[in-house]
Amino acid sequence: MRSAVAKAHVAGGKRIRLDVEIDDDAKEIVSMRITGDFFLLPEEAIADMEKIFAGMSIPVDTAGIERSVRGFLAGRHARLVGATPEAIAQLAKEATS
Amino acid sequence: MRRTFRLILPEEFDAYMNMALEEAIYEAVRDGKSPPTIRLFSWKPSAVSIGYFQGIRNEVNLDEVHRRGYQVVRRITGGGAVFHDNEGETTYSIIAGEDLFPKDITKSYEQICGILISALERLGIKATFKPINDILVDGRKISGSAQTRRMGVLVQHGTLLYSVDQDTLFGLLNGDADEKTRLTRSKRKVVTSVTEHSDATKDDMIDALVKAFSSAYTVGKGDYTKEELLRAGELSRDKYSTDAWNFQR
Repeated sequence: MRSAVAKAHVAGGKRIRLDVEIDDDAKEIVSMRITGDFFLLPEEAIADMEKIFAGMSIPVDTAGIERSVRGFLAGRHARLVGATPEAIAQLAKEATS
Repeated sequence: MRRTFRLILPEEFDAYMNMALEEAIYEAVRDGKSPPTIRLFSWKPSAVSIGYFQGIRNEVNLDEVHRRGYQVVRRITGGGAVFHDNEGETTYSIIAGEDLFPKDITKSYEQICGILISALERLGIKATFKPINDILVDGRKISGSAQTRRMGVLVQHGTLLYSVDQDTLFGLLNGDADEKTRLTRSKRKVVTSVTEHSDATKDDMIDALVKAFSSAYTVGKGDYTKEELLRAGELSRDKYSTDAWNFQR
């Protein structure tokens, strides 16, 4: 088990930081925490959004992550401001590479 | 939903009570027990507030906060870390039915920030809105805001900098540990305050805010209700002063 961090300033947006727990033997993400100065309404949705990543196979499928995050936001009627599913997917790839 | 705003003039509270009052007023507005509200307030002792999603240890130099006897509190809103200097800033909040504002979040920031910009104009300061949630003077940030919407009620709060002690400000904020040096250098150039552009006193600034809000909305001066204060006391004790809330990230 190891920890990894990836962070970025989204163009025209806010800062995002991913703290990822990785199981190298199982080649999967154990957990992920998404922090930063972005906005997500409702705020409580962040905990469920982070659960999307638990058990995700490595190497990650960035297109799949984007779809999952978009689907989650739509299903939860949540609005992400200052961050994007693309940026989250790219950071997940960076953290797990 | 009533459309005449209650305007609460500045009072000082500690960080936990300030954030608790935001939530207590939100609940009262949501339940139709209080009118839409504009609130001006200060923080005593000085404090750092962090956004809902921020990692407290990544963003705040906790040793320095404690050494100075300041407080740190997590907001219900996203956005960045803010130093609320007791002398150097005034915080505003607007808590009202969502239907009074544009549905688009950035447009609603622009509308409300426009009121602050007109307050600055009253002080002879030309300011501009920078999406998503900032106000700039000569390209430097003088105000930042954060907004949430729950159950049909919009809560937006933000700071207007009167004077900035740059060393204290950047000693308190980490700006994410390994970027600290870069941010400390650059932020000195990107933050400004009223005193850098005007001879206005802090009272002048508050008066300009009151006049700007009064021009934008129908307002009547008011105060916190007993119910709001009692509820805020509970929220301060049981939520905003707890490690469970402040250290959740």
